[in-house]
Amino acid sequence: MKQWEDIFKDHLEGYEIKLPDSDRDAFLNRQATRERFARRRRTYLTIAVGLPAVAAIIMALVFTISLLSKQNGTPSNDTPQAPANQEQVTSTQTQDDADIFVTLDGDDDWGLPIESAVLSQSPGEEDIYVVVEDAPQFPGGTQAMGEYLKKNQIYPDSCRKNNVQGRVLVTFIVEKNGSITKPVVVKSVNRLFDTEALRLVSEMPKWKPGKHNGETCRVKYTIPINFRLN
Amino acid sequence: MNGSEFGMGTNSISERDLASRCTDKDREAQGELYARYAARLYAVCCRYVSDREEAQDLMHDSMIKAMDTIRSFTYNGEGSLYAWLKRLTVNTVIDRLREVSKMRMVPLDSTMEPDYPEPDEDEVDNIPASVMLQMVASLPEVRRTVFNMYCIDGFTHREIAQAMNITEKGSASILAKSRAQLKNAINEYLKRTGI
Repeated sequence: MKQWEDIFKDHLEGYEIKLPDSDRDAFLNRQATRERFARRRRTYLTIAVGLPAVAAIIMALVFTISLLSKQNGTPSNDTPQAPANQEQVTSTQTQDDADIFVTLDGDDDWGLPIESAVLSQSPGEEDIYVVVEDAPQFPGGTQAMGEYLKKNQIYPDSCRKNNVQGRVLVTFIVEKNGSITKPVVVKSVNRLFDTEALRLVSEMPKWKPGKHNGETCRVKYTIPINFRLN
Repeated sequence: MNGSEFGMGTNSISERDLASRCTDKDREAQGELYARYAARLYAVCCRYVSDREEAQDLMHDSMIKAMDTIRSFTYNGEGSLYAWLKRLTVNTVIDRLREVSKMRMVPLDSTMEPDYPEPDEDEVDNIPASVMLQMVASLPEVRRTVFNMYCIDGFTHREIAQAMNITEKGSASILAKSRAQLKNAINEYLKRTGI
């Protein structure tokens, strides 16, 4: 026996109230908008989480690399190459005065620096340049300097006896009048070679001074002095 | 309920396929799901909520919730998709009612409805569904909710008690009052129409 509630249930359970077609369109639009926003939210979330993560990884890498390079004692920055003859230009730091200097790495050839860089400015002194438009020059050019060094080099006896060879790097300043001052050994081999290299440099004839912006200026210069036995 | 605008292909699609295509966010399937069930679910909402606009809103919310969670639907024979959708819709409606805290508990036993005579079944059968809906909709909110859940949507008193945050005894008591009030409405209607 059916009760009246059951009849209510029969009539109402599957009852439909039609809505206009526009309602379906409204619903579908709403759903599409929601999905679009959900996608956008996911994108923003990815960016918000991803970017800091990538930045953190990069910073960690940079930190590690700088730590490693400090441990190895290698210079961490490269200077551009002198384009004239593709010689390598390296930059490092000396312990004495902590100034940056440029080395022209090559046995017989000398590159021309192209850019200007002010090195240091101690009180009472004029600027010392590392790279100038018009580089200072040994009288007669680099070839003449090579011949001068070869001709005047006195090979230390004990080194010759023990078959010791090497290359000393000497840095000095070419003053405005062309004289050579403050020669310093920046890459030493032994005391005998160092002394001889300093002697050779300080006894060099006056150079043709370097120029920058049309004015002569003090330029820091580094040359290699080779000690080789035939 | 046919999705004529969505092509002939979707009309014959099975419930199971329709659900799985909705899972893949297939726009055509979403349209078909709406075409098949919106009117019925809207009627469900109208039973619980007297305001038609709010009912429409709730139907949309339920449909959207369905789109989001249709992955969790498991096909269980013909009609299971509608059963699942109806359940979801009723839950959405209950949540909304609770949220706006319209569902304040009326003190129990404060008023006893007089015991109206049971209406004749054959006569009740002649009442159009729209009128029945009108009668249900005119019940006070708490009574309407309990009556809908228990008598039409097949919830148990335990489930109603949980959903509405009342006791099972309270649910049964409210049901008795809504039945009494409805009986009165039915008798008045029958008297008025003279069926």
